[in-house]
Amino acid sequence: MKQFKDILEKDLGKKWSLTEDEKSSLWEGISSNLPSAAPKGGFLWWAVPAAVAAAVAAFFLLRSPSSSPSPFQPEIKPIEKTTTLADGNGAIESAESPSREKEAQMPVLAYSGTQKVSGQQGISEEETPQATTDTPTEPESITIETKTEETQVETPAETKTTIQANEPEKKADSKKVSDTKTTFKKTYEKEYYKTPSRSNRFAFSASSNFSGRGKVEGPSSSMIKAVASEFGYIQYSSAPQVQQISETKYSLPLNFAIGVSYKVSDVVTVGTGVSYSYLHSKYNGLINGIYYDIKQGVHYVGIPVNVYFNLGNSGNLDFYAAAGGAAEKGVKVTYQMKSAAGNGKTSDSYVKGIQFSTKAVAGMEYRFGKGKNVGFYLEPGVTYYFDSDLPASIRTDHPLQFEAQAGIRFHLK
Amino acid sequence: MSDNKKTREQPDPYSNLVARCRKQDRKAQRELYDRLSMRMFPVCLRYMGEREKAKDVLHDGFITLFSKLDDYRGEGLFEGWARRIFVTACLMQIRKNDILKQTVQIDGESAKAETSLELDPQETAQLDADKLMELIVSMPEGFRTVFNLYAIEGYSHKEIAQMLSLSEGGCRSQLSRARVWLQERLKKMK
Repeated sequence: MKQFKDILEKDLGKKWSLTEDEKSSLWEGISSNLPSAAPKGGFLWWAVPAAVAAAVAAFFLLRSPSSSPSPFQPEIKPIEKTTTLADGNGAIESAESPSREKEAQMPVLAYSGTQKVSGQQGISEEETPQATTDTPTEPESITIETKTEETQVETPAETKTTIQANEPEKKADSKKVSDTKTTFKKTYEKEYYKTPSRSNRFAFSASSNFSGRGKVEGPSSSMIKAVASEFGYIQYSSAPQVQQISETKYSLPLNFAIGVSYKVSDVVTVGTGVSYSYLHSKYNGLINGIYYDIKQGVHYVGIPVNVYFNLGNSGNLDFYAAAGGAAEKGVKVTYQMKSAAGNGKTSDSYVKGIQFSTKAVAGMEYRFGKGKNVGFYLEPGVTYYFDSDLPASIRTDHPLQFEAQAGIRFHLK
Repeated sequence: MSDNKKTREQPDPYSNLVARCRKQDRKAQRELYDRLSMRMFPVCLRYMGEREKAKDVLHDGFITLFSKLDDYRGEGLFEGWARRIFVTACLMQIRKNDILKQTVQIDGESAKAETSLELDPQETAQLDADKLMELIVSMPEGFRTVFNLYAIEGYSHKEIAQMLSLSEGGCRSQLSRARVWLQERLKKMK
């Protein structure tokens, strides 16, 4: 087929070529679609497992505050207008319960059962809150009155709460289990229903206010304080029940993040995203005189903001420096306690407070793949964590930390 | 495509330019554009038949070329590699217009067509580059594509059939018609 090709390879006339004007205007269109000389693409994703951070964040944000009872807090139940756990014959009665929708809106925890169990049956090592009690052995009555003049949340201005735990007398000639009658009366319940814009989070805030202003009487005061602590602003170091008796051992902090960055110029790129961090520590402590191994985990969800400065490249390696900061919301703290006798307890709760930090890193990225659109990066650097009211952690004990972050970036042209 | 193979004696004249373009050197990109556009525009014109359509395809082809420069591994001459990008860009545009399907329906009956386009040397004696370009550009769209791929680029019927999602018979039929069409035009030119 050389015949035609040979002919065409001879000089073609100018009419088959682009004019200078056509050439220039075409180049303008082409060059506007080309990436610039910066080693980082127009958009780049710095990401370690993407869905992981988002899923973990959603998990902790949306989950209920406590899934198991702990020594710090009684079980939290949706409020019931009137609940009688057991009548004189041991039969369980339950008064009308609010609908599911109302339950979700209920802000107040219902507390029932004994705070202290004597050494007769079902011996417990310490004060143990229980939602339902079949064999209470010690008559007890607790009355808590809370008067709130001004509330931070939208609870009624005048609030009165009465919690009574009454135990009927034992019937000596009967083999039936002793009676327990616990009655919860929430006099502000009706007013609360009228409060607009309620949510689960709002409900827990209400509990926090309750703790700060409550007048506590009787043997359950420490328990009430624990409840307040759990639902309020937690400062673990000042928690009344725990006496730390060993040094804290910290595990390697973990952080996962997903982000997007935008190239402002050939040298400067700005990035932000979502991060999840987990800090784990353990120590030994005494809780009400009992020795425990205590493990603490604090979960954070944060938003980092960084500015990257391109320093140049060599082959497949890009070099850059970055500076920035992050605001991390403490979302949950988890305690795992194990006594010397082997009894284990788990407690988790929300935490308040925001951890601010600033950092400076030097990074390098190895680009590979088709079009070098994938990069593995390593960013050693220094991070300073500002003082916060979050639970004690490696960040509060060692605010200046040397860290190294690694991950994968996907560059989009 | 043996003409794309690099010889040891003759290094690829584009090699330095390509290396600079990979670093997104804008001046190098412009230089490459200047050099290649003069050679690739006629290629696009041959396939598209119209100047404006050819310019559109040239634009798309250059964007593809610059974005895929890292894929060029230096096997074969760069210009040959670039040419395939522009030819592919043309074929994509042609496929969009569904021209080939229409033509296949018309010519589907002649599966036993001639496979050669060799013309009598006397017929092509007075044929220069400009005249041939005029003939190609004025060809009906359907078999202009097959003619370009077979007679100019040197692809086989099998390869063309795969590229255009045609049957091999359909491809031969297109070529046969192109031959007849060319012969008629060449006689008129005399």
